[in-house]
Amino acid sequence: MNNEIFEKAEKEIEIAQHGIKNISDNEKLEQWRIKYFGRKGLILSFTQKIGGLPEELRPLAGRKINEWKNYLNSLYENKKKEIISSSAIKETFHHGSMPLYTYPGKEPDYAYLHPLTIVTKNMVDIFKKMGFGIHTGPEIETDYYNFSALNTPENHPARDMWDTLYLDYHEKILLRTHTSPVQIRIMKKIKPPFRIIAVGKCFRRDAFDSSHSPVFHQMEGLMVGHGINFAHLKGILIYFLKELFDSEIKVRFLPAYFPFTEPSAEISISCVICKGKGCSTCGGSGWLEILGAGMVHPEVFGNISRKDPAYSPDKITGFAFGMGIERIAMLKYGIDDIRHFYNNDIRFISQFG
Amino acid sequence: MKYSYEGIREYLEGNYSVDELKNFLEKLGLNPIILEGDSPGEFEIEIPSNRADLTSITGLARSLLPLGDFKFHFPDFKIITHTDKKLPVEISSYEDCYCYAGRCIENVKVSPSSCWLKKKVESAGFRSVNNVVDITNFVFWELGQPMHAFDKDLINSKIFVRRASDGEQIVTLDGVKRTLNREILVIADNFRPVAIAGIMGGVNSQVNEKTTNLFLESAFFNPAIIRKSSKILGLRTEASSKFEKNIDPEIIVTALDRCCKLINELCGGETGELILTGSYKTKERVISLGFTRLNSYLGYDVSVNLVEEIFNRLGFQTGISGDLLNVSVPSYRQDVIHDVDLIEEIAKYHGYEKIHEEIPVAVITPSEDDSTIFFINETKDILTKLGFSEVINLGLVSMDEINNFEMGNLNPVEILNPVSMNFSHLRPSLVIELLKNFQRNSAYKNENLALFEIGNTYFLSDNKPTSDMAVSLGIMDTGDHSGFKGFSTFKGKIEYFLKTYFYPVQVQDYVIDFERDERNTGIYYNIILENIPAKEPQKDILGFIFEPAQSLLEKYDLQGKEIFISQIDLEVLKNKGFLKSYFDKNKTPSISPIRRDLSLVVKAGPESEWRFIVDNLYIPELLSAKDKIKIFDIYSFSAREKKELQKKFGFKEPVDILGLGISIFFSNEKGNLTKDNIDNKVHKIIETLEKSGVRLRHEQI
Ligand SMILES: [Zn+2]
Repeated sequence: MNNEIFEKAEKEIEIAQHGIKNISDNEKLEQWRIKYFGRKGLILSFTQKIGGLPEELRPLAGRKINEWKNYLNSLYENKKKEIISSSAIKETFHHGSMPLYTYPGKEPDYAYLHPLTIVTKNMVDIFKKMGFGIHTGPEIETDYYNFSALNTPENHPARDMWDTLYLDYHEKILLRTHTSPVQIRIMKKIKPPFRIIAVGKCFRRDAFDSSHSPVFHQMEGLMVGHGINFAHLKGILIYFLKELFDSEIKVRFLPAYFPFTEPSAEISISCVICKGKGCSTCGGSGWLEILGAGMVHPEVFGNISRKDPAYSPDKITGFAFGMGIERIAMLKYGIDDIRHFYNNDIRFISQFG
Repeated sequence: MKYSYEGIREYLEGNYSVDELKNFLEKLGLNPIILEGDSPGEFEIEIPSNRADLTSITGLARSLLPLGDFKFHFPDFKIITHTDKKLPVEISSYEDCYCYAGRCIENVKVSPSSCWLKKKVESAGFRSVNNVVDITNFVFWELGQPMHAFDKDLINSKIFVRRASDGEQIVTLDGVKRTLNREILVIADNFRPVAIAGIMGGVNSQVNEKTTNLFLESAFFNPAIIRKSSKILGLRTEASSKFEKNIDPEIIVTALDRCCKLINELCGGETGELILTGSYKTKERVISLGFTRLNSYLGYDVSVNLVEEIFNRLGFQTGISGDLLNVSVPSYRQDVIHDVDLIEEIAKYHGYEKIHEEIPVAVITPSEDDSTIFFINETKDILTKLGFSEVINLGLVSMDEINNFEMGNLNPVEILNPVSMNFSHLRPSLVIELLKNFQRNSAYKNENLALFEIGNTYFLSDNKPTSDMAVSLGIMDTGDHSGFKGFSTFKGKIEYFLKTYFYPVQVQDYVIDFERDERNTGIYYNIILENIPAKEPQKDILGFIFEPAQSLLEKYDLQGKEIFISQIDLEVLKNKGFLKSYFDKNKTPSISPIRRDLSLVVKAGPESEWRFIVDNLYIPELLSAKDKIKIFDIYSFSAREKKELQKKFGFKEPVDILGLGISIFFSNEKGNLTKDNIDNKVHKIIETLEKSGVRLRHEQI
């Protein structure tokens, strides 16, 4: 009876050996595995029977079971490899005559930031290095912040410098024509000393053509403290421009007029296209106007110091500057038409990332 | 203003070339522009609005005096009066007109100008009319005072300077009939206005070929009134833009006399006596500037002699007392008011290039940032990683475009003076322009696109123009046209995008739901954010996904395209997303470690000293090896804070202190830590710390 058990098992093994030969896919192989290794499979059911064998036969049975297990396992592993290699080569790695693994992979979609975002980021990073904080302000402004508080009262002829879009004549609500109102908002919020920049959209009543746009972006800067002077203004801006463009550029400061700074300056860099020799971009002059700046006008501080004596123009000085981001992007990338930024043609946008 | 090298030479004698002249002007920031078709030596200068003095050839020549060894020729003449003929003048308000001067000239001969005069006025940019009018324009160009000549016989016996009455009319010299109102200042006779003050004369009193008797006007009007009148009438002239700026009050009579003298010489006639109403004399203005202030303002030392020489050459009287430079400002420099105006003159004439450059080394705590910027940058990064490229639009749309979308009650903001009807409104939604972006790209054959924009949307709230930050995402696909695959891919991206804001809290607290709302122009799937643990389940509309109807796509030449555009309110995301609720005070999230932050005050000393204190907290009854302490911030206090804290914690004065921010992460692998457990542990930790001399500033749960 005992021998019967062994013989029966040996026969089962033989069947298993035959059975596996005809298997050619994973599904059938798995069924085969369960038949022999599963909970009700041959190996386990035989193991359970060991307990019923006489003491002297038990070691032999143990050895046999191990032998069978290893044998069946080797059959299984070999078959598995066989299936993988055959099916893989046939179905996965061949497509026509070309192996599929030589095909180009499917790349994820590339996406790009808008060039104005990229240039802004470059500019912000330079000022961050110099300890400037970044701020924002509302696009919808009041006459007070956009003009009056900046030493440009009503009926001041300098208002013609900014052609304004109005939303409410009675309440004097308008679209900010520059980022300078952020200067006033910041000074009403924090105490000197500080250095900040602000970036944002501005609006003017301008046509939309190759060099004008009713909407554009500006970066504003303001540094206020004790003993801040014109030499500091020059130092910060020359550093900024050389970092942004090229350390080889020349920077020129000339007098200018803005109602909210005195002295005021208009800052140009040597033409990045012709290196100062004169070309169509620089109108033959060799210079490109790029920034307006100046020492904050005492009247501007005066408006703030009425409520906050920390801003008394006797105690502090400061400088402010502003620049058009489109203009800088155009010069940096050699773009000749401001409308490109707002056409949003993906072929244009994807050239800068 | 148009100027020429030859013109300037007549008033500014010296040894300089055309190029040198251009350099002088550039140095003063006047940027001469050579106009096409002009002969060399002719150029246009844009005069800053505060420098009325530079709008005359004599003023411009004078401003160049400090730049070289020049001789200034101011017109030298003597007026001769022949008769005592006068015209009475009455000014109704000296607020409106500070001073009015005039002279009559009788028996003149009006004729076309001589060649010389014609060339003069034309090169200055005026049209030659006749000898009298041309002379008034010549004097305007030479001395900067706008002049007006009336046919005296067409004026009824008296001149009034008064406000117009509502509805009063005048035909101006340009042939336009203009209706006036009380805001507008006019020159009138007994019956009617004969000119709009400071802006343009009337046809009814115009000098013509039959004119024999003249009345010449030279006045100083309130600049604000001229500016306002000119705006109301939509009429700007050379004269009005000059009067808007502050003219030189003291030139009024000189200019009048110069004009009469020239008319006398070129057109004959007898000049009458001066009629003068009001006063043109100005008070002496003296501004004091400290040299200490000057030097610290510019960042370098300027020599006293140099400063005085600049001002003296410009016609300013100077005197020095101690550190102070006292400058008496001439009447033609109305722009010089503050000491900084003097500083600018010095910097300008000395040269901005002479000021050295310096990076300020002042100790300044890096200024705080506005978190909005970081939020926006973060969002842009997430979106590019999801495959969306950024677009930036003007944000200006037309009402027709808005109506295309049926977005419900949006109350769009209208621009009252739009530059064109295509840009008449501020966009109430980002979707409008994003669809246009697809249209344009499709026309360029850029297919299969994913775009996003971050920007403001604008609407009226309580009738007030308001803006709201939003993000718009859109995809355009050639599509499989079943509609569903595209929608589910897009929806999946939106959900993924939203989860990046809410995931850190615990996804199960929030449910993102969609509600369908079909309209003629397309289907809106409103995105609803539900906050479940709130006592009253809270619903926020985050935005929507819009699937445009074919009829709308056709309007944009996009028929057959699979397009979905979403708009999401970024203000809600910013305020409700992870930035605000990363750590919910009343909940201990399971499994993940629980963080508590402590803000401590320690004695300042070498790092090893206070690091040791923190490391000492790893004792069995406090922290296990799986718990972690991180020092996340070390900072020094302002002098004021330091004093307060030293007092509060009883540190002896000389002991310097530092602020220390630490985070403790309690391991919660079994998920059985309760708030009480942690409070207990934190309490013990604080006790232990205080024993080693550390003070708790505050705890942040
Ligand atoms: Zn160039």
